[in-house]
Amino acid sequence: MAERVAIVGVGQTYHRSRRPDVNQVELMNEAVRAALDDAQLTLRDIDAVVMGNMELFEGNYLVDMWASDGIGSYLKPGMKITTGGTTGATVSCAAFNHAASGLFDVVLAVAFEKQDEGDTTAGLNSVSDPLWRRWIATGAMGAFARVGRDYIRRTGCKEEHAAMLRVKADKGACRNPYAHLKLNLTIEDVMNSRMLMWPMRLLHMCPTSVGAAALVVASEKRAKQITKKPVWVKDWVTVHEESATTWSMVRPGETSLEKASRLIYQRNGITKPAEEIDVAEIYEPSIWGELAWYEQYHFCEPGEGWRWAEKGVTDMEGEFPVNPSGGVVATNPIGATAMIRIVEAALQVRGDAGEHQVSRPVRTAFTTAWGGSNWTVATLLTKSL
Amino acid sequence: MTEKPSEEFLVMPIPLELPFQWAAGPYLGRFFRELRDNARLLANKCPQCGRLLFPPRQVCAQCHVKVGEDWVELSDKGVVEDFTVVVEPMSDPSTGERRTLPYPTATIRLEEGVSLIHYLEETDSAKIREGLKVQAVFKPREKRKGEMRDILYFRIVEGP
Ligand SMILES: [Zn+2]
Repeated sequence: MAERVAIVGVGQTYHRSRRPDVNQVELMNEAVRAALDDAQLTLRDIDAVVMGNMELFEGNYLVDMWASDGIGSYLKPGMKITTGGTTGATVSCAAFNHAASGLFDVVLAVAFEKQDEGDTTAGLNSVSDPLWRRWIATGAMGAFARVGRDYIRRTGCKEEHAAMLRVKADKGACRNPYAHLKLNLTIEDVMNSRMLMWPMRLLHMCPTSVGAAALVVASEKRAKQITKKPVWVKDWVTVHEESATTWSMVRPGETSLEKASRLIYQRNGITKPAEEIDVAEIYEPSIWGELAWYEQYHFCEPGEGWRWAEKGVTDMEGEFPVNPSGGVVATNPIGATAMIRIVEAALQVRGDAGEHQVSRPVRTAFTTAWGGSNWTVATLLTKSL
Repeated sequence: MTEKPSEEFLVMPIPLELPFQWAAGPYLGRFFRELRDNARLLANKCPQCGRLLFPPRQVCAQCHVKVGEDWVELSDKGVVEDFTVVVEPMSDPSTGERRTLPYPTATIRLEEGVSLIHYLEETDSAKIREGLKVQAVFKPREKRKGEMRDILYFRIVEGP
């Protein structure tokens, strides 16, 4: 990598179920203004703009054709990116690559979703292989019901453990001004929520949110000029699996989650992730994903995730906090969701997360995103170079 | 300061219809023809790693070699690898039609080791377990069109 890069500004909208008060471009612009304000920059300082969303959720397939006013790309280079659940992370990585290449000093990354304008499950089902399995697709719910079922069968986990993590997520969301669902949940509330397909209950799934996020990314030299608290993007990886046509949700050890996290740890000399990383913002469209995936990220031993839930290891005040923001189960404006992981991790590294700042001092943060059901993006953010 | 009257926000409805037609190509096309004409399931075999590719295709993603015409007929029997029972109303994304509830979907591992996702005939989740032996039930010839739904569902033939 030619240049080291840092995040020098972050922004996001107040995420909601519906935003009929703004159109798509105006929504993006809210996040862009917030990130520029945070960086104390103006659009004049931006050399390139990268943006993304899951276009089939709004039914618009070239948003960048008419979003230039909202994202500030007029007369500037850039591109639009769509990679499923990972969209916001891939957009971020593209901004990192732009700055790391040495061709651009300051790059703006913007991601959004306006789910109140389409049918997300229909959109999601339409990403399945059209000839082989689209006809039987059940969106993210079916996929994560399988993850939950498999995890219960394999590890002896009980439904209570999913509820514990869901309550943990809600505690974070209630302290996060930007989070969508703030429900003051109890274990019983989660256990009694409506069954969708066993063992998946309504409160185990992410909401359909409307929102946007933005990052300002800069090369090392510019980053040091722009801010006293740059968040260094130490590394970022994307790992693909074989075609989703043949891929299964429930084969541990064969997933892109496992491979991407192992790769980023190896490249950065991390041998004990839960000790050497101070906070993680992971992508969990369902709480069953969080429970079953701690081991995929090598945070814990196989089958140990539910014991961690019991002990509160990953609570905001715990030894290894995970998703203090409330995570994806509280807030999921899909195209922006993976960027929100990076925004939140950057705030934790800066110590600027406010009421949901974790107790453990943060020098290193880890984020993940998972998309198209068979690829993973992971990033490592640090306080010092 | 006087209170602002609440503003009316307009939303434009777009009831869009977008028809498509997808080519199956020579490999998947042959699979669907065999399914339609003879109620047989085919896979093709990678010449390098030797694994069966199901659905059949041109290139092995792991070896990056052309797979070719080494065809293997699969048994129509397998075991339930995992399953879930759908109780939430959902549409068939190809047709927009609402599916009849409840319905179980399962990953079925055929005897040759390859897997597919399909329906089970049994809709009572208490009677479904991983490891159950199942067999494909095909639609009658005149109803088969050369698509995955030519298999009606998988029927439980034996407990584990
Ligand atoms: Zn091969």
